[in-house]
Amino acid sequence: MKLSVFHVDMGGCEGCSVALLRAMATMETCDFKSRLVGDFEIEKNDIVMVSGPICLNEPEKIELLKELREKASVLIAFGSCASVGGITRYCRGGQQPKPHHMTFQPINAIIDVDYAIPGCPPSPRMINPFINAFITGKQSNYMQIFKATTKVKKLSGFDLIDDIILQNICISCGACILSCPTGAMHMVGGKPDLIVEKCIRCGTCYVRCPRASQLLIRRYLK
Amino acid sequence: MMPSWYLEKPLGEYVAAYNVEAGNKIQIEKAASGGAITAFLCYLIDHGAIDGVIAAKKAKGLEGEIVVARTKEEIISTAGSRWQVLPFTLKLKETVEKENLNKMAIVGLPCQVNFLRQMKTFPLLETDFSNRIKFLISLFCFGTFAQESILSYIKEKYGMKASEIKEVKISQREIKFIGEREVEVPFDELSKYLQVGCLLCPDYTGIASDISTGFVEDKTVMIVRNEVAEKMLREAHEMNYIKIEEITQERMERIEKRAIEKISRASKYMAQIL
Ligand SMILES: Cc1cc2nc3c(=O)[nH]c(=O)nc-3n(C[C@H](O)[C@H](O)[C@H](O)COP(=O)(O)OP(=O)(O)OC[C@H]3O[C@@H](n4cnc5c(N)ncnc54)[C@H](O)[C@@H]3O)c2cc1C
Ligand code: SF4
Ligand code: SF4
Ligand code: SF4
Repeated sequence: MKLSVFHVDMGGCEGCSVALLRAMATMETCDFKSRLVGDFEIEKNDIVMVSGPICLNEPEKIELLKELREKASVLIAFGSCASVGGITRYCRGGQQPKPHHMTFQPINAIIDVDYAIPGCPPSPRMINPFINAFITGKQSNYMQIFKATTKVKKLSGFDLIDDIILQNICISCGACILSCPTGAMHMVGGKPDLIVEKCIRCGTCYVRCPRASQLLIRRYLK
Repeated sequence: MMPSWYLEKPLGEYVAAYNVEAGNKIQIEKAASGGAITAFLCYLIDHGAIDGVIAAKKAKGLEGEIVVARTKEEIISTAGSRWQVLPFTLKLKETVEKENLNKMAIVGLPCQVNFLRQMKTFPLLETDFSNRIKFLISLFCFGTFAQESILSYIKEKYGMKASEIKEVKISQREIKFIGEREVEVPFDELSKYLQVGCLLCPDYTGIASDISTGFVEDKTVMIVRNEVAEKMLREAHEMNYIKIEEITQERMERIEKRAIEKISRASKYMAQIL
């Protein structure tokens, strides 16, 4: 039996949607439907993937999210906006068509999420192994990180600085620098420092840091 | 306090473990090195199993830097231990892209191997070069130090100046500072200079590696974690790059004991940080 995977985008930039479509094009073990390409009914699904943030001023979207949760065995917040807010954390209101300050939230503001995958967008190459874990039943220990990430509502270079560098538990491995898509992290005096203007709050550096990922798991799962 | 699997398997999953030394096919002249890893990497490159190695090379003084080595000579020049965590940076990503390396081996400390395995399992970025990594080799590690303070301690207590130290050799229970003369210091005497981040680290051998290696009582030990790595190690042995012999139960128990010490230490400090 094929795994049923259903995707809905809540209104992101579509980067995550495109990543998903690219990955799913080659996943023969899944029966994949995306609301992006058809007005599919929401049926019972093995996996529901939600991309984009939730707008708190849109009651229909909130109802949709709740329905998706009800019909999903596993619900995944896919990408930085859906999982930790990402760039939408910077919304200040006043833009057209006028979302207000803090109108956007990661989807765990409304529903329980089983896995939250940061990334702006997460690369298509990470999707196949992730979905495959549900088919084979062999879950990598690293999936715990994505489970723990469902418990936070923000995650970024700012948090990495606060939790790791300023607590003096950074070991200078440079994993954060290597993992930042915008080059917002750089080494100053042997420790990473954040160029604040460049941080899009995607959370990638945090889940990739050996100390920070360990903290996440210990804080929220054990 | 720690994930249960840590204590169930303090050394992680593995298929075999050996005492290893460099064979006579490779000449390595480095005071601080048994050269087993270096010899094994030479085998991998000679036989096309890999097309490059990311390892650590001495920069200036005791400082090291991460480099990409593509030839046997370059690999041999990276032999020996650098005693810090050396940062992966964007430069590494650029080099890998530019040199068009597609089958790399990477040597690193457990924290780094853990990060690389995570990147390989779930490549979150389009630019992650994870599919180019063929082989992850972890060094055992009980912690790295705040360098300045340790150097001034060695100078005060043992009268050996930083400029005299040519090599540092780290084994399971001792650190040897090697220059004109040798100063051997028990690891535990230096514990107070460990980086705080290392006190939280529960992984002694690098459980996410393909092969983990350490220096236990003057012999290199390799813990082999999968069949592919096992096959390559045996071939390298048959072709005289390295010499392997079965390890005794007792030596494995000593490594396991050290691993459990590290897990307990991490548990204790994690409770303080949280
Ligand atoms: C910081 C540190 C702590 C260690 N702690 C322990 C310990 O507690 N117990 C134990 O049994 N063994 C420990 N080791 C491992 C041990 O010292 C030897 O490195 C290991 O046994 C390999 O020996 P070899 O002669 O086969 O290596 P070699 O043939 O000399 O090859 C060593 C390889 O490691 C690479 N390398 C060296 N330093 C670094 C570094 N800092 N980062 C990334 N790559 C590096 C080199 O470039 C080379 O490729 C530690 C090593 C380091 C660097
Ligand atoms: S520092 Fe970089 S990786 Fe970290 S949250 Fe900011 S943009 Fe993302
Ligand atoms: S990944 Fe974490 S431990 Fe490594 S350099 Fe960055 S902040 Fe420090
Ligand atoms: S103790 Fe852990 S964190 Fe510290 S250098 Fe060693 S492997 Fe890395």
